[in-house]
Amino acid sequence: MPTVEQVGKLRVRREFRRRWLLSAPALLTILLAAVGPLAIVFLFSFMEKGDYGDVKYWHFSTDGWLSLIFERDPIDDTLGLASANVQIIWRSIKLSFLTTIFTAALGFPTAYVIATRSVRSRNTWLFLITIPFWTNLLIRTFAIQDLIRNEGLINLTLRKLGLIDAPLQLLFTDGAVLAGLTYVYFPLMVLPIYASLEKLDMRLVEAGYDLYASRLQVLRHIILPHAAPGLIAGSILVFIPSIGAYVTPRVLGGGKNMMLGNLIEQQFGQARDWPFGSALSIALLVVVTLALLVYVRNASRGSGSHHGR
Amino acid sequence: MIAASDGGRVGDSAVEIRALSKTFGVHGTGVVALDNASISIRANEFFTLLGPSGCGKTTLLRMIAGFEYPDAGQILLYGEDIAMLPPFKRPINTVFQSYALFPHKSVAENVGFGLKMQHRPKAEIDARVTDMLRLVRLEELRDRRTSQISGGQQQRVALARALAPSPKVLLLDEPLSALDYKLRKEMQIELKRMQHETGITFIFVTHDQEEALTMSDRIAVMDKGRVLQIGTPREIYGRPADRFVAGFIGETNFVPCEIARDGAGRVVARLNGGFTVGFEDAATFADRTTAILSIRPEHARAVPGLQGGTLHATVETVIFIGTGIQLHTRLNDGSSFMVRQPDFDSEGQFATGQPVSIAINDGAARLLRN
Amino acid sequence: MAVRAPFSVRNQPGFVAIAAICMFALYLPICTYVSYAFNSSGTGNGWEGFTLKWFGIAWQNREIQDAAWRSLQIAVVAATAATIMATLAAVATTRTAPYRGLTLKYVLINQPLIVPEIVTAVALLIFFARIKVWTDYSGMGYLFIAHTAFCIPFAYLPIRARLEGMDLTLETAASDLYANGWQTFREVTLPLLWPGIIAGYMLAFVISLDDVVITDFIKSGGQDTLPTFMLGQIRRSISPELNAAATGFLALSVLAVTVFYLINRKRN
Repeated sequence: MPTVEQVGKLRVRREFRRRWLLSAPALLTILLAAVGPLAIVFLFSFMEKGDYGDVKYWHFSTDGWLSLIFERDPIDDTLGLASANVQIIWRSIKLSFLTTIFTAALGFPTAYVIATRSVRSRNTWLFLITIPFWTNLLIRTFAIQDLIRNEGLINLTLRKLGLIDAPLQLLFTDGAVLAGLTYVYFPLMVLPIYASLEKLDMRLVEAGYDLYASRLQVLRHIILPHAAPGLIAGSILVFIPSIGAYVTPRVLGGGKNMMLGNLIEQQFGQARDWPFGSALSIALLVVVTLALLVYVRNASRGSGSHHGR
Repeated sequence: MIAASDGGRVGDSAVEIRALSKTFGVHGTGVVALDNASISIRANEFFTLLGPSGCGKTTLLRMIAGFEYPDAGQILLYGEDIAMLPPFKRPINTVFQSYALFPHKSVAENVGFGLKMQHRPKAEIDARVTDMLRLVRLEELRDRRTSQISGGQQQRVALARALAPSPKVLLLDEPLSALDYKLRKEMQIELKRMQHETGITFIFVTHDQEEALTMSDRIAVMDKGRVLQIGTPREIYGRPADRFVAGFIGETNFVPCEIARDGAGRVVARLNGGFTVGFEDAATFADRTTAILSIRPEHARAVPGLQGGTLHATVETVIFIGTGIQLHTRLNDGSSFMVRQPDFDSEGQFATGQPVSIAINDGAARLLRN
Repeated sequence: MAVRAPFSVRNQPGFVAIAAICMFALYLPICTYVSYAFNSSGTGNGWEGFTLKWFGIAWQNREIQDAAWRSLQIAVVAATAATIMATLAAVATTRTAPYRGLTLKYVLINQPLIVPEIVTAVALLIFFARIKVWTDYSGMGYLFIAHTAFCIPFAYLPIRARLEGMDLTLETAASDLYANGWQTFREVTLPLLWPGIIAGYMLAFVISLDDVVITDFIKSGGQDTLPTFMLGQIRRSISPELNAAATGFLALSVLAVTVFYLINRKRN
C-alpha cells in the first residue's frame, strides 16, 4: 500500500507532466518558427560571407560584427570608419528617441484628458484610440505618405491658402519618417499613461490646490509622479518598435533615409552580406532586450512603491 | 492533545480522522495547518469544527472533501481510507462559503449537476431536482439564472445542490457568514431541521461560537492546527479543557489561585486575599500548586459594600443589558472581573467607584492548568 | 466684461486642445486615405463625387483578389491554430503556484512580442531558405507556421486574463459534484472561458491579416498577401482600387476589434 507521501509526490509529478504536455504545442511552434531560427542568426553573424549571399559554412570570421562600425579599405586592407553604416545607426537611435519624446509630449495631455472624463465617455475615447492601432501598419503609413506628398492634402491646402507657391518637399525626409513613427506608435504611449492616471484620486489634486499650489506645481508634484510609471512603460513600448522599424522608413524615407531595419534588409537583398545582416539583427535584439529589462524592473518596482504612498 | 469527553467507539463513526497533519510551504519554514489532528464523527450527527481564523478547521474540511491532501494520517469514511481519493470519487458534498453556483447555468441545472455528472437518467434527475427545490422551498425559482436571485436564496440553492446526490456526509464551510443577522438565525434552524430530516451527517465549520453552541450535537474546538477538545455544547461550555477553550467559548474571568485545603479538608482554590472557592473535579489536583480559575460572569454575584469571605472589587462600569446588568469591576490586584446578574433589586445600587463584594457559586468555577 | 469660466480642478490649460488635435490628427490620414476609395476622381487631386466603382474594380482585379484571398486563408488557419494552442497553454500556465519552468514558458510564449519583427523575419528567411533547398517545398506551409507562431501570444494574453479572473471555486465545486477533469473543463471552465477565446481569436486574426514584414521576407514568388502586394506598389502612381481593397480590409479589422471590445465590456 503506497504511503501518503508517495501518493502525494506521484500526484504532483503527474500534474507537472500534464502542464508541460498542454503547453507543448505552443512552445514547439514558437521554438520552431520564432526562437530557434534566432540561434541560426547568431551563428551566421560569426561566419564568413558567401559570394552570392548565404555564408561559407563553418568558415568563421568576425567581419560581420566589424562591419557594424568599420569597413575595410579594399586597397590596403586597413580598417576605417564605415560612415554610411554609422550614420544609419545614429539616425535610428536619434529618430527613436525623438519619437519617444514626441509621443510622450503629446500622449501625456491626451491620456490626462481621457482619464479625467466621466467613466462612460472614457471607454469610448479609449476605443477610439485603440482602433487605429489595430489597423494595418502599412495602410496607416501609406495614409501619412498620401498626406504629405507633393500633391497631398497638406501641400494642396497650403497652396490654396496662398502660403506657398511650390509644394514643400515633405516626403522622403527624416522628418517624414519621424512623423510616421510618431503617428503609428502614439496609441502605445497613451494607453499606459492612461492606466497610471486612471488611479489618480482627484482629491489629491484638490488637496494640492487647497494648499496654495499653482497649476504648474500641481502638475509637477502631484500629477506627473502618478503618471511616471505609465510614462516609462509607454516610452519603452514606443522605443522598442521604433528602433526596429522597417515599413515606415521604407515608405516614408524612400531609399535614402534608411534605418536599422532597412539596413538589415539590404544585407539580405542587394548587398548580400548575410553575416553583417545577422550581426545587425543580433545587435538590435540586444538593445531591445536591454530596454525591456529596464521596463520589467520599473514595472515591478512601480507596483511595490505605490503601496508606500 | 485531545480531551474527548465522549466515549465514541470506532465502530460507530461515519468519519474518522486519524493523526492528520499538513504543512503548507517548505518543511521547517512553512505554515503548519494541521498538527496530528484526530476526530471521530458519528453517523447522523451535526458536528461542528470551531475555532479562530487560521486554526485549521477549513483545511481539515477541505481534506475531507478532497481539495487538499494530507502530509500524513488517515481519513476513514465508514472504515475506508479516502484520504488520497480525488474529490469526484468521494460520496461527500460541500456547501461553499461563497456558494460557488455556476453562473452560466440555471437553478435547476445547478441542483442537478452532481447527478448529471453521475450519468443518471434525465427523468430521475428532474424528479430529484423537484424534490430538493421543495425541500429548500424554492420551487418557483427553478429556471432562474443564479445571478438573479438573492443571497439567501443562493445559499439554499447551494444546499439543495449539495444534498441532491444523497451524499454520505455533507460539509458546510461557514455557509451563513454572508447573511444578515435575522436571515442567519432563520437558516440555523433550517439547517438543523434539514439534518434531522435527511439523516445525513453534517460537518459544519464556523468561527462563531454562539452559532456552534446553538446548532451542534458535538463540537471540536481547534486552535493552531490542533484539536483541543471534543464534546457536546454543554460539555464544552461547562467543562472547558484548557485556557484557550474557556476563553474562546462564551465569556469568562481568569483568576490566578493556589490549591489548598479548607477547614473541612476539602480541596479548594485560594485566591489573592485569602478568599477560597470550591471547584468541580477537585480531586484531581495536587496541593499547593498554582493554577487558573475560570469563572463565568453568570456564576458570580456582586453586592454593594465589602463583606468578609468574598472577592473584593471596585466598580468601573455598569451596563444594562436588558436581561440583567453587567458589572465591569477591578480587583485589588489590578485585574478586571466581569459579573452578569439579574436586575431584580439592584436598580441604582451600583455606581462607578463603588466597592463591591463578589461571591462565586460553589463548584461552578473550573480549574485550569497554568 | 467677459465672464471667466470657473476654476476647474480637473482640467489643465491647453491639455484638452492638445488631446483634441491629437485625436483629429489620428483619424485625418486614415479618413483621407479611405476617402480616395470613394472619390470618383482617380487622381486623388480633389473631391469630384461619391462613387463605389473602385470597389467593383478592385473586386475584379485578379492580383488583388488573389492576394486578399491568400491573406484571409492564412489568417483563418493561423488564428485557429494559434487560439487552440494558446488555450491549452493558458490552462497550463495560469492559476498555479509557481513551478519550475513557468517563467521560462511565459517568456517563450510571449517571445514574438519582445523581438522586433525584422529580426524574426531575417531569422525565418535564413531558416526557411535552408529548408527550401533541402526539401524543395515552397508552398504556403512556411507562411502558415510563421503566422501561427507570432499569433500565439496575441491569443494567449486575453485567454489568460479571462482565466485569471475566473472564480477558482467553481471548478472545485464541480469536482466536488463528481465531475472528473475533462467534465469540469467541458461543463464549467470552457463555457466561462469562451468570451476570452473569442477575443483571442479576433486579435490573432487581425494580427495575421496585418502582417507585412515577416510575410514579405519569407514568401516565395507569387505568394503575395494584400499587405505585401501593397508594399510592392509603393513606387506606382495612385491606384484607387488599391485604396478600395485596403479600405475593405480596414473595415474587417475594425469589425474584429469592435467585437473584441464589446466582449470585454460585457464581461466587466
